[in-house]
Parts: sequence; structure tokens; C-alpha cells
Amino acid sequence: MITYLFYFFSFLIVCSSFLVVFSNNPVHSVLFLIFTFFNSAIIFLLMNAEFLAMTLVIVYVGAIAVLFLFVVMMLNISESVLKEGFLKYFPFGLILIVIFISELFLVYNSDTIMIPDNIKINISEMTNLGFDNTKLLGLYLYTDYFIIFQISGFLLLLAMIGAIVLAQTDLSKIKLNSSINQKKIRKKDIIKLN
Amino acid sequence: MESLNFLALSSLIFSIGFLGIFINRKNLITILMSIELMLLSANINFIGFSNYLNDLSGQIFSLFILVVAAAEAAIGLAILTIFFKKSNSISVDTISRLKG
Repeated sequence: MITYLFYFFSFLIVCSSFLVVFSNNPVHSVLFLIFTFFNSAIIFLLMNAEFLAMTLVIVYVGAIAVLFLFVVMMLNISESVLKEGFLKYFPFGLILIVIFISELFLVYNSDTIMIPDNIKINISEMTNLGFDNTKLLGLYLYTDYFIIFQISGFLLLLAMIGAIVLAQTDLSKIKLNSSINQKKIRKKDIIKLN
Repeated sequence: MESLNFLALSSLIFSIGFLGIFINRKNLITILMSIELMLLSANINFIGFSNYLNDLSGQIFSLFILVVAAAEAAIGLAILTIFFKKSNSISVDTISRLKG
């Protein structure tokens, strides 16, 4: 049953990601991207990753896709010029993809690839102890993987600062309060008693 | 679930994203969306192997990929808006005019 559900939702993902790439209108592309993310959240649920499925919906659909939609609607793009040079680059990309997928199948069928037998964090063992998915992720994220977790938080801070600095317009055109001049003013300069 | 299933799915999505970078030379937004698709395929691969090997590490690294994807989208779209303001187009060909 789970396998058939997996096939169904994978089919939806592949179709909608094709439409993301090939549709002429960027707004349609973003909407199909959202559909792809919803379906892959369902795929994550089928693979027993509940927390990441919810995170995918919140982060991708709630933040990234809406950001894309804002940008697409903010920029005034004419649709006719967007697909120029399609036939020039399409065969080259197709050749590279055929090479890539055939390489992957050669690797999959070769005998030298082995599945590692030293499992670091055994999920079913921990689930029997009463840890569910979110609790288990939190347990290991804050202990074993703590440094990587901190670095990823720092990366997000850096991205936020970078986006603000990049999106800032020329400061000389904006009327702002000068806090230095405000501090310089004394009471006797502005209040006059007759 | 067999390992071939999610491997085939993730490699297909990766290929579609790769093709999207090639054919959308005039549209930088769709190129960014194709990069998101490729990162999603990496996520599917990690979580599929996490389920297949019964190991939680894949899910943890998938969380970090999610962080990187969010940062990349924010910076990329910010650069895109400045670029559109300067040159009034989002074609890849006009990016060659950028100079430091």
C-alpha cells in the first residue's frame, strides 16, 4: 500500500517539476513549485520523517515559495522573450542528463558499493525506548551535532544581514533621524523662557 | 521500500532541475527555482537512505540542507532584484556586464 502511494506521489512530483521548468509564465512555475513541495512533504511522511515533512511545508511553502511569488510579481517581465535560445541549449542539456543517469545506474548495479553496517543512530531501537521522531531529532541536534547546528544558525543570520544590505537603497535619498545630532541638542538651545 | 524507488525519484528530479538551468537562459527566476528542485532531490535522497538504513543521521543532514536552501533563496532573490533595477532585465546574457 505504501509503495503504491509512493509511486502515485512520485508521479505527481515528476509531472509538476516538469511543469515548473517548462511553463512560460513564472507565476505558474512558482505555483507548480509549491505543488511539488507539498507532494514531497507527503513522500517524507511515507518515509517516516514527520518533523522534516512539516518543516518542508513551513520553510519551503511558507517562506521560500512566497518570496519567489513576491519577486515574480514585483518584477515586470515580458513573457515573449523568456524562451529564446530553447532549441540551442536543450539538446546539450539532454545529452548531459543521459550521461548522468546512465552513470548512476552503472554505480547502482555494480557490486563494489556496500551498505555500511555501523549504524550511528538506530531509529527503531530508539523508537522502542519511547522516543518519537521530533524528540529524537532534538536530542541529537543539541548534543552530537551541536557545532553544525550553531554554524547553520550563523549562516541564517549571515543570509539575513546580506539580504538586508543588498536590498537597501541609497541612504542619502531617505530622510532619517540623525541620532548624533539629536543627542547634541541641549535644553537651553530649544527651550526659551521669557 | 526498495532503495531503487527513492534513488530513481531523486535522480529524476535532479535531472529536471539540471535541464531547467540549461533551457531557461532568459529567466533567472526559473534558474533559482531549478536550484531549489535540485536541493529538494538531495533532501529526498538523504531521507530515503535514512529510512532504508534505519539511521537518523540522514534526517539531521537534510535539516541542514533546508537551512542552506533558505539562505541561498534569500540572497539569490535579493541579488536578482538589484540586478533587475540596474539593467531592467533578468536574462543571464546581460549578467556578463557586471563589473566590480
